[in-house]
Amino acid sequence: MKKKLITAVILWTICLSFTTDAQNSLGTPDKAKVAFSLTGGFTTPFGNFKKSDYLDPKSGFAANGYHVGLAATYFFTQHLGLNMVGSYRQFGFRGIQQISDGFHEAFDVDSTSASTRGSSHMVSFLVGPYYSLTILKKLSVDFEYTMGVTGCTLAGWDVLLTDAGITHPPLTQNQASALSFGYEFGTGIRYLLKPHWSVVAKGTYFFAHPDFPVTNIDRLANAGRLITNYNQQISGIEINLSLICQL
Amino acid sequence: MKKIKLFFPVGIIPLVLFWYSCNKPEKGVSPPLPGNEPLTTMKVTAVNVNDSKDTVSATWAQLDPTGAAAPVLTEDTLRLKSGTTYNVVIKVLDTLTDITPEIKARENYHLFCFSVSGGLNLSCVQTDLDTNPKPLSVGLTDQFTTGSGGNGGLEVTLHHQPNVKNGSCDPGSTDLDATFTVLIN
Repeated sequence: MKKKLITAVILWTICLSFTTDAQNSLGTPDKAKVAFSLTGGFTTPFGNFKKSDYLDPKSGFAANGYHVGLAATYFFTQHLGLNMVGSYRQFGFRGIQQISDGFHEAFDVDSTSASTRGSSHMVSFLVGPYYSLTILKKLSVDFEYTMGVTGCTLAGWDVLLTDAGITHPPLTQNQASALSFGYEFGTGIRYLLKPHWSVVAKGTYFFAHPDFPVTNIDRLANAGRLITNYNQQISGIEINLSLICQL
Repeated sequence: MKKIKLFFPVGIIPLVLFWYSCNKPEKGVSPPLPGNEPLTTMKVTAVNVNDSKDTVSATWAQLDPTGAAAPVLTEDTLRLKSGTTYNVVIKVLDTLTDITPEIKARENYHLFCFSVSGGLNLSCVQTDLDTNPKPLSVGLTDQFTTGSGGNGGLEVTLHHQPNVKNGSCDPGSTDLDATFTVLIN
């Protein structure tokens, strides 16, 4: 604990020393107050959300995906600003074969086929501080922490059971949605391309914990995977590239 | 010019990602498993509710997987007393293995049905229930009630009703169909 505190103080001191020397955190004309950015990148989920174990009700079957976002940052000083972010993050689906195999075994039928219903994704509107620290003439290190509301959607699926030549109506787990508090924090390296334009390569951690009410259709028999809610955290990291325009 | 080259990939990434979002649903298929053992044997054991020493049973077996050969009936016919109630237990086997526990484990989509022929005065009622949201009969245990004397056939069918079980014998397919000779005297 003590070590962590000392490290934090040292880092803060270094930051302040850079701040005093820095010409301009944005590397742009001094009067630049607002920056807009367009971000895209790849997302990797963590934890139970990425599990694809058919028998585990905590499994979220999420795979790697992508992230796009728009942000506006208002700088109070050369270094510190308020960041407002709207973003969309979509995950792939991993484990549809496990779902098909699981129902094949659970209902002891000749064959099964499963297909996904929609996708797992997040839509976030977040606000928080943004700190930019110039380390070289055209290079700066940026830090951001944002929090706010995240609308989350969990992918569903349809499973068809075929037995003795008869294909029964599909068993369906509907796509589910829920709102949650969410936050993100990340850091990146910003490079000034030309006045008013720069790019940032950054890594971000994201988190939300929605409680999805899950509805199912045509579940007459109490057999096979059946969940009626999904209350697991959705978190992960992503690597993003942003194009920034400073006004 | 260099800067234009730099802008291009940065601007194109979101477009590529949006295009990626228009992907088709993921699909998985599980084909039939080879070498599934066919069900071959059904044993019906009936115990007089008023006299536990009065126990009768009959076994039906079809050991020819093609079904071409005639089924084998052992332990003679099912001999019941008239005007009597019996608690009945059904067992199902594949060649050597007792499959009854497996059927019990999968009771939520299995059902035994009974059909009498030849004017046989016999009523059969399933006494066990599955664990479906709305519990339905299974038929691994039953109650047979005999009327006046006579003989005829008792057809016992095991129905496989994956997610379509509704209490009737119609949905699904038939896993096993055995006909016993019943004598009531």
